[in-house]
Amino acid sequence: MPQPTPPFQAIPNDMVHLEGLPSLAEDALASLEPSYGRARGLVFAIGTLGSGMAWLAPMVALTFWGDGDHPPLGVWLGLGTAWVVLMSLWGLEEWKGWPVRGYLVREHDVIYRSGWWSRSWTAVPFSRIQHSEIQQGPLGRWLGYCSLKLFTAGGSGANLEIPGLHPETAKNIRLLLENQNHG
Amino acid sequence: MAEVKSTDGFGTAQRQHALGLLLLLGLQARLILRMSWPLLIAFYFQGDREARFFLWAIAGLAGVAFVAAILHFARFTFRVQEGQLQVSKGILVRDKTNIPLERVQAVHVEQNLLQRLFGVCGLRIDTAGSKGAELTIHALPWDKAHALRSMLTSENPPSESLDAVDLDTAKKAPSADPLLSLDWKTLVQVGLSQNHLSKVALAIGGIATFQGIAWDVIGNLWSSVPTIYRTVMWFLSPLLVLLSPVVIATIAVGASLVTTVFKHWKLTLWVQGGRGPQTASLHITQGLLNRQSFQVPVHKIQWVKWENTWIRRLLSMDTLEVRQASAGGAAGGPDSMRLVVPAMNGDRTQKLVGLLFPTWPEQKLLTLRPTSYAFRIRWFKRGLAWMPVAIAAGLGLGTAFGTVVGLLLWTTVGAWSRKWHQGQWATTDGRHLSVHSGWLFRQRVMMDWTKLQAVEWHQNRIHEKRGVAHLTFHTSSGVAHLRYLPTSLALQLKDLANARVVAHKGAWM
Repeated sequence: MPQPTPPFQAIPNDMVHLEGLPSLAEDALASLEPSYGRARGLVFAIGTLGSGMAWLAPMVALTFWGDGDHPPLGVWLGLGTAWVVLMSLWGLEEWKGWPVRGYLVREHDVIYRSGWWSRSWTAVPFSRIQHSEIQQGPLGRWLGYCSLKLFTAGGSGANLEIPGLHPETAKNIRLLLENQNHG
Repeated sequence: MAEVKSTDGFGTAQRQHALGLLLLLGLQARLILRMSWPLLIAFYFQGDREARFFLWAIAGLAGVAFVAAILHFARFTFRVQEGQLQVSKGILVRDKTNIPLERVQAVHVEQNLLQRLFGVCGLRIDTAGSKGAELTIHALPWDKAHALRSMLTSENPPSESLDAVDLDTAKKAPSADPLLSLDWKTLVQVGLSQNHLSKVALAIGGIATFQGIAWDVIGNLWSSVPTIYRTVMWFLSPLLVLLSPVVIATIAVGASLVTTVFKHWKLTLWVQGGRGPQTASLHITQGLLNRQSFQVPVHKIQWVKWENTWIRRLLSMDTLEVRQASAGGAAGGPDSMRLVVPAMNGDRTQKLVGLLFPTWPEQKLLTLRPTSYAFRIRWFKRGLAWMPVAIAAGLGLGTAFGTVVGLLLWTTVGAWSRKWHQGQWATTDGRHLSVHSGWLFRQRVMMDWTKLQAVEWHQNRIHEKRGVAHLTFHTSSGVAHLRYLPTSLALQLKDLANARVVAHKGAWM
């Protein structure tokens, strides 16, 4: 199909610089807190170990203490390969996906981008945000990050969650939001 | 809205009509019956002594529920003051809800047979914060209900005084030129073009239930038939097996027809109170026993869908669905308040689009089509999904047969995918988006980008290599997807839609 030239006139939507936010270059997204990255790494490590134990422990138990037949080599190989493949895919997504994760606060909207294999980019205009929520779990409290949830009217698909923000940054974004909507 | 003084008698707190109590009791009774029917049936058939205690428990529960219903009725009061609908209710936990009038999204007035006998109607009020109805008033006198409805939906400009509401306009019949007034012929067409499949189960169930009686009748008839005819009929009996699908189909179509007549009887769709889209409302009334009347202010409409099947296209009919903002978003429950209109034709659709989207088309329309990659990937995926059939055929009946089956399947799937691909397209004028999709079941979704809630752009690694991307436009009541657009176009549209929202300064809800 023909590539259309920009079909309609552009409407300005300039970026905004926030106090306490990392400085934003044109079209560059701010990356998330490194502590959130560590938390994701931790979750990945626990997940890998846990799922590894989940299949290894019964197999080992059957081999050494089970009476009768030992699990055949095929089962070992099959389960092992599946585990290695799944975990490396997860690891790859976490590793490659980390630099992709980022957010951008502009004059009129908030943008969040994530995903390495499957990349998604969501923009929510300030004027459409109904309420916001700052959430900090035990892991976040320990490592020092929180997540900001922005709720719009309607379905859950239109809500935006920016995980891994510094608590100060989250508060600043929220403040800006309130000023935009009520100022 | 502080200047509003006269509120047509709604200024003081008031209860609903006394029939509301009866309806509440009925609702509670239905709830208890629904919970306890297996027990009651068991007791009826077995007369078990032990079950008596359960019966006492049910009776106690019913007593409590009825007292609760009476208290609920007594405590439930509402009034309109300072531009807000103030409702107080609750027995143990007192609950006061204030709904600002401009936040009311839609109002539904319904009247079942009992309510009609007493000249009252039920009112359901939807706000954007509720999945179904935010508030239900079970019984209000007809005049009052309609006056309240006019007051709740901004048929009057939000900035003007609400004094202008007069009962006569609220009671008045649809304006001279309704958008749609369903006549007998169209009603039958709507009934005939329903989805009959859901009724087939009903037909089979009905036959299964009454087959005992039917066998008795047939047995009696059989014994009275002379012997010569018996032989003839015995030879004809295989026909019965052939006829049974016809019988089931007839019952299913009949059931569709009857339910349609009951539901859409005297359906009228019209626009009222309009000197512009900010003040007009879309109205629909329908129903034979249960009269329903639904009203949604035109400027609150977020998302419009037209849908048809090949059989409806033969009759040139579309089913229209109009949605206001709702907390459920795209998800609709049994309680969700939606305006659904069968039998829209091209003419009516054009009128409605002119009304709902007055500036469409704002500029020369741009047609958006998915790339041919969308067709190829669908063909490939669907073909792969059918391959087990070919492999099974090959294993069972020989390689040559399997190959032929495989080729046939690939060709058919290819043709279907082509048809599907041709049905996927969209147009935009830079402010509105109209998305068409489907082949046998076609639908068209239309929205105004100034009412968007969020824009989502999606691409995986393979899409990136192929230069395609997906876009999802979220409104507060539904989404529109544009899939497999060329990447650069998708990026432009994403920016354009986003810019449209942030540049829009007016109200959107």
